[in-house]
Amino acid sequence: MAKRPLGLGKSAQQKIKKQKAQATNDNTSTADEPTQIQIQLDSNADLDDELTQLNGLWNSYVDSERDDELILNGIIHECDRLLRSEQQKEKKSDTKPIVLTDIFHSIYALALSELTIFKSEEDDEKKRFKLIADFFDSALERVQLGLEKYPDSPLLRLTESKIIFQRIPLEYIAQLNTGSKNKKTIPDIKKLLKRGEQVFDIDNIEPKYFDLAFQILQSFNDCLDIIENFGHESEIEEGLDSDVDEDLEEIELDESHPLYEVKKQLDEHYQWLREKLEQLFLKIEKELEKETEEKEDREKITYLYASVAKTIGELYLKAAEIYSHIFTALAYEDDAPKDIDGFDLKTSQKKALELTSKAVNYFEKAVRKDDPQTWVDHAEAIIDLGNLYDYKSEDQESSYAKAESLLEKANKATNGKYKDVLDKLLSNDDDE
Amino acid sequence: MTKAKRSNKSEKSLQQSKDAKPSKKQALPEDKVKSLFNSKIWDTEFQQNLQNQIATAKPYNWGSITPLVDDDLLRKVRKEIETEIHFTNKETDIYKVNQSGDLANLSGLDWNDLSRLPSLFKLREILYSDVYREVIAKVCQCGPLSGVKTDMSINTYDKGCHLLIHDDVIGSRRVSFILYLPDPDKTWKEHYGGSLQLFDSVVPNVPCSDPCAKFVPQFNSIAFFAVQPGFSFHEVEEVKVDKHRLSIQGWYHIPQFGEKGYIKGEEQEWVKTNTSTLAQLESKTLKDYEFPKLTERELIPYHKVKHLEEMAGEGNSITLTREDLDKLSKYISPQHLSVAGVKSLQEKFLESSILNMEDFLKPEISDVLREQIRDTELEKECPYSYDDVKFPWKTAFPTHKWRYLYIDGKTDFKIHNGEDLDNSLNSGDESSNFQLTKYANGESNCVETELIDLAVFFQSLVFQKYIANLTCLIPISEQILIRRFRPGKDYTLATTSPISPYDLSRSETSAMDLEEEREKVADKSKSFEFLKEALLEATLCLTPSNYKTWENGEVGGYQLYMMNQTKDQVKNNKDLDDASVYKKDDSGDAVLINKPAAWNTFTLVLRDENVLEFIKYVSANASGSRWDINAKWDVEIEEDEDKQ
Repeated sequence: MAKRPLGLGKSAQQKIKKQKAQATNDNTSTADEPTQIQIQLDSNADLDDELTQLNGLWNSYVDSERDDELILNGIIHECDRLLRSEQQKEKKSDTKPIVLTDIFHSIYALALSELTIFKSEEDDEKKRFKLIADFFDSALERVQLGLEKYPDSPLLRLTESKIIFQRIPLEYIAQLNTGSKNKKTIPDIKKLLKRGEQVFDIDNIEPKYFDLAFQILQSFNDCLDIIENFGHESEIEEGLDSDVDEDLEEIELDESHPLYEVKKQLDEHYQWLREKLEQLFLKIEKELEKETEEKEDREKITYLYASVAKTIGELYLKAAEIYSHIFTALAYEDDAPKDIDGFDLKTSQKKALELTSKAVNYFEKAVRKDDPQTWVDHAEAIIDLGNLYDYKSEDQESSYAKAESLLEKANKATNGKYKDVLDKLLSNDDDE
Repeated sequence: MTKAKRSNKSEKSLQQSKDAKPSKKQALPEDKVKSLFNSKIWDTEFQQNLQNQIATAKPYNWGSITPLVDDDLLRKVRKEIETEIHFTNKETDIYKVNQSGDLANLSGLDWNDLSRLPSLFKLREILYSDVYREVIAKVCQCGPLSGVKTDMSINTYDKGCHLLIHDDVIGSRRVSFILYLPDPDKTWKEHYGGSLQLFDSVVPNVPCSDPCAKFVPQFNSIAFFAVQPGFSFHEVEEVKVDKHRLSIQGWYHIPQFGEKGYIKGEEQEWVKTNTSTLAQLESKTLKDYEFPKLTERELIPYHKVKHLEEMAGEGNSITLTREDLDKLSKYISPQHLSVAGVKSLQEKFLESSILNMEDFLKPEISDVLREQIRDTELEKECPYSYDDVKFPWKTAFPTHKWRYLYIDGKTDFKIHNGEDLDNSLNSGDESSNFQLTKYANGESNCVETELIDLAVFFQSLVFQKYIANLTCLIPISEQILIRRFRPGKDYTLATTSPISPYDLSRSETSAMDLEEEREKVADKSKSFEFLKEALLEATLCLTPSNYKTWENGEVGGYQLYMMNQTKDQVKNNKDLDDASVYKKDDSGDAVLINKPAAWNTFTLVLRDENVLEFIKYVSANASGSRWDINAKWDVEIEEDEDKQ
């Protein structure tokens, strides 16, 4: 009589029994099955090429949740092996040596740098910072070794800036508190930020590194945010109110604090960040105009386009904040002075409108047909813009109406997830 | 980084506190206890008003007090919890929560030694003090409460955390309470979620589909209710934002031996009489309220089964004809129809009793359908309340078992009370006819008509042949459901394989026409035997929103199959006393399949009776609904094999 399937539970039990029996026979432990990972490879790539495989493994890690230290260790071991293999083959004159490209050095360095995230979970503080420092040092050393062979590699320069921007918060700022005084505790953050900016160069990078470039700028953005909100970590962890303008009171650092000077230069860094993001955005836009992309690649780059646009939009809103606050205070507060910080009503309004309009423009570009959150981001920026127009002016009314329509659409699609945002807009209308 | 540091510290702290000798503290004098509460609760007029409010509260007797205790004391408690207690994220079919111990209660937090948590110690002491218990007993009119059987746990609900509907009927619990400790300096807003939601009941033990009362937590507010078997259904709404909703929940029990108010045998009688949510779900009377009725799969007409049998060769393997393949290829991707593809699938299924098929529908069908479903999600308002759901969709019931929208090809009904139920029972059994429901909403070419076409394809002989071909099992009955799990609303709790009523050796039946069909089968096929201990189940998942948002399970919506506990495991597992957490599997060892919601994946499983299955609650933060078509088939086995 023919065999029939046993049933899910019984099959699983039988498999376990089989494994145990096999383990007993083999005199080995009943180890779990090895984790299987899928490696992304280009359809026309040489599948036997070891560097292609390494690249595929790295891309798979980058596109994953990045929560598997084992895969990262695997990548580093593979890099080590390839390096040894290269050295051995160089000695043997009869075999063709492996050419370790700048991509290899970049992957190796980035993997070492990425590993610090897992090392930051080490309980022993002293050990933790030692481990993190060692891995960052090794990562930077790998970049230098790569640059010796490929001095013109834009990829390796980008890699260096990625490591620097990752290192500043994870290793240096993590050692500080608001009372830290000794500037020598950590290296000069100001110089490090400058170095990171200098080596970030996207003029000659290939489209396949647009995503890396965006990751670096995001790391930089995070780094600036951490510096700006230094001392407020616990409040941020508690969760800020998304629907209330909850400005965190600025913590005044002592002049001797290692972050004191950096904080003073934040505006310049943010401006640099916006410029680089806009450069990247233009490159992506150009790439999208080409019609040769495969469907999957096109989806990826479209997503990147929207993500970059959103980040730029957020940064323009942030830049507008100071002028918006001044304008709102001068326009609506009783007993308001004629100007604040040298800005009167008209100039603050003009400046705020200029920056917020740019933000709205980018949020509009970031809108994705199937993502209601992007509609809401757009609507919220439009509300901000509306707030800057003259009270009850046509521009203001039309901005609010446009935002209302976007929010209604988003609420329809999400069972009222953004009802509070819409309610707030409508209640403001009522108040007025 | 900060988190890791904190948890390490708290683990150490707990360890230290475990090692320390229990401190013997003097009980607080009554006036001191009273001074630590909001003074108004000692006022008789306040108590009387509260008692009246509770007595007339809807949907059942419940009340609240704000503020409850001394603000300073509670802030200190919060601080202690933040710095000294380590929370672990736990997720089962019924909840996702950060718990203070290994389970909901006690373990992991040594309540007998709170020397490192002096304020928490003090809080527990006053909450279980004679004078405060008397107030609670009075306003709840529930009889005396035990002061020695203390029962508290600390949970923090952050984004995505929830506890689905249950009634708290466990052991000797008499009153449930939740004392809230979110950020004391901020107002907790309704749209953050995390509210206590209360459900009315259609009849005892059958909660309504939607909650009818809500309590939004604020720092130093307490909500409480008398545990009422069959009625006190409630849930913790999902927290939808990045905030911590910290709370202490506890229960007052029936007085214990030696205590004032103790009545011999009262607790045993209570426990004997009242069943937990779990036990209710398994009771026969509740099966009447179960919609869709998963045990009532329809017999596939005899001639069809006979045809499949005749087509089956050695080992029930059916060879598909050119004509069959042509019909199948109208829907199914070519790689799943090729000779090599099918052979490989057969071997896999025979080996493991499971098949996972990606890209099941062919691109021409899949691409259009995906866009259509996603557009429906984004452009058409989805009904969220029971009464807003319009035919052909219906709402799965009862709520403490599952809630989702489904189309089963049968007539419409709504249940609001026992009478509606009688009517639905009187309407008798009815065959599923998807074609009749196809244009029920008056629209053509809408997502419903497309999904119904697919369901009709699932019911076709050629599809049954295909299934028989892949599994070497002949389907003899079936149930097809089109399902939609809405974000922030829907789920199924874990249940074992629903046993088939079509066992020829059993006499009970519910419908004449089915009985006739059965007799016909019994007469004509003496060797017609059914696989009683397993069910063939298929799920074609058609969730169109971005897979990346579902992949890691963070927003729920995944389908999980796991081994049920054996009787021995049940005996050894004290946690099972707590029916609100009855289906936990922290180790993950028992998990057989964990399939995230995805687009166009077909999972085929021969599910034996000891295997639990559930669809995890879909978070309000999910990017859309989980959609699927679920099919269940009883399958034939050959008689000789059964004897073997």
